[in-house]
Amino acid sequence: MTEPLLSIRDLRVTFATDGGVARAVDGVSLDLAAGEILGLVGESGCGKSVTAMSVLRLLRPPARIEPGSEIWLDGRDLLALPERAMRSIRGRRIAMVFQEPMTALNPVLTIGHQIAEVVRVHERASRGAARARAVAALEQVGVPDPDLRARQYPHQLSGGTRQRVLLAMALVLHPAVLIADEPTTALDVTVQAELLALLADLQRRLGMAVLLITHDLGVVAELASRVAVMYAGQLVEEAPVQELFARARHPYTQGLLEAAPRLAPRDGPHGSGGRHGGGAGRLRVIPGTVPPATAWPSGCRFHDRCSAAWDRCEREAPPSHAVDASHRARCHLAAEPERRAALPVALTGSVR
Amino acid sequence: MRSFVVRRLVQAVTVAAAVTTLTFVLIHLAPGDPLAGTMDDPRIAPSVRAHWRQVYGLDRPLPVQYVRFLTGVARGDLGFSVSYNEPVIAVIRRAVPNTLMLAGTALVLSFAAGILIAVIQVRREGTLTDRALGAISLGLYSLPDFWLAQVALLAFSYWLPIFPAGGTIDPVIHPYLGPAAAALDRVRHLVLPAVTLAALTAAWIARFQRAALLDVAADDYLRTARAKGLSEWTILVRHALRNALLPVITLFGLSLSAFVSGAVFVEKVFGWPGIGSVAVDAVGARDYPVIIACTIIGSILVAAGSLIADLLYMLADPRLRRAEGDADGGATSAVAGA
Repeated sequence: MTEPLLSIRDLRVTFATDGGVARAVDGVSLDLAAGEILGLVGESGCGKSVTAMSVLRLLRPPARIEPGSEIWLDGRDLLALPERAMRSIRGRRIAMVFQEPMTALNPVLTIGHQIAEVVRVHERASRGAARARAVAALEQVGVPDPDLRARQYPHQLSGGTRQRVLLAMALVLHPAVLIADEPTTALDVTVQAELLALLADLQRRLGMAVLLITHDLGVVAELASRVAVMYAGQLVEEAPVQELFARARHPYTQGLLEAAPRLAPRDGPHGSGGRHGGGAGRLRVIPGTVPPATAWPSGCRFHDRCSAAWDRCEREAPPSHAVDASHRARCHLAAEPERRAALPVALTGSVR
Repeated sequence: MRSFVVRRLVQAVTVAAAVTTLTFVLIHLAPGDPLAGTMDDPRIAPSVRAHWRQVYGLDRPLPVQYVRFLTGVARGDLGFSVSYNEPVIAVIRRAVPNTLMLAGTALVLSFAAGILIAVIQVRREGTLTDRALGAISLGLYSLPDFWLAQVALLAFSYWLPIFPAGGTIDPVIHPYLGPAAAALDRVRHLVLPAVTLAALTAAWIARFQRAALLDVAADDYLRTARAKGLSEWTILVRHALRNALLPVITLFGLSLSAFVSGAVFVEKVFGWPGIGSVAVDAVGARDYPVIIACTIIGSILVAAGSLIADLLYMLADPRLRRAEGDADGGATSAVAGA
């Protein structure tokens, strides 16, 4: 990979809670190359949204980005920038789309005003020029009748149109990086598909890098070129998208793939050969739930939910092993090929 | 929109009529009448008392008095004031502009100050500034208005005589002043009563506005605004305050009535010849027609206040306007009252 555009180095975010210090993000390092779509997947509470919010420094107390964390863009560490300089990055170099189109827009301001505001705050544009840019941005994201829409308020638009408005707001200044946090989760399936196609199209046309945060592997398969999987505040696996879907190395990733519903009968490497193979159409689940961030398990954080775990997993936290040049997995199995070979094909899904 | 205003006006008239009737009945139930003070003297012959009661119609049964009063009101005749010895309408006409001047000034002052204090508090949430302003406004909020009025009077026109002690103008020199000096004279007389009246309400509004601002602080659209690169000040004033203003507008309607009732004491203390002073004097003199006229004025102001508040609400919250988007199809509109 060439020089990354955005580089997250050893990001640690803690929350002081009544139940102790929650280590929501615990040493995440991630690179985003210019023009690529990187999918960041994981269950709720794994730290993926917190990672995204950290990039724009949008976290508020009690969340705290620990010293030692670095986020590099344009040769500068964003975490070391004064607030004023950070403001000039937000919306201009890095933009963000949030997951709640119903509440992410200000109900008392017009759509046009809210988009034009981005232009006006970052460029010395006149009111009329900013307005025209807003209308053009609405047109770019496929909002019909953009001139009229710009004069309307959020409550007058459908959920899909609102999400397009948020996208227009994010893209109006052609940022180098777009962070999309579950951009389609709240929408109908058909609207979701339209928006994903739009996102892919805009990404190609504008050549921006996208950090796509989602829990939906289908979305990742469709859009992303690379995938990073998060569990319990850490990256557990990172690989190009085909590689990950074909040869996931981490039992957690395998579990996520197993747990994704599909319409076609199961085939491929995660076929129905497992001990508890329920046959085609039967979903497997990963037993247990994500542990609380105040008390991550010792050793490998996934060991108590992992069917392949042995005593070493409980004792010793696995490092992130390089499977090959572009594929990394945080699992002892990646360094123990013999033990891996001895395992049944389907690793997870067993109820213990 | 128009039907809404009409509906509210009908409502206002109904309320005013009910309040008037109630007041009419209540004051007649109380012992004594307008002539009690001057006439119920053993040295005045009973026949003389009876004569004057007959002149004012006070000897008639209550329902008859009520009907006579209503027919008068219908003709725009509010009756004749016993204590002022002139038509009630003349008394009211003199007093209302003074009250509107005082209440209007206090209204603007209190909202401006209250909202500003809240914004400063929220901008510095949790700091000493926030807590100090919070303590001051809680203190002010708990003070009785007549007490604050008297202390203000004592402090700023006696110990430190920078403001006049009462009235709306200086009766001695005012007629000789030029227009600018005359206006200044009015303002100088207005400061103490207006600030006293405003201070208490400002404290109330500040506490309310601060809570409303903190209420919207976690809203998603503020996070969106932050992600756009706006400054905290812009986010607070343009995005948070615009939304947090909505509940405070409700206070506007309530505060108008608070000003009218609050003005009763404050006007009295500062000798401000408004409706409040007139009402208090009228109660003392059992001047029935004046008391009722003051009640009518009061209920009109309250109704006007809540009507204005509702209209402001529509202006501030696009979701309450019947969307113009209805015509262009596809646009959904949330309608008021849904």
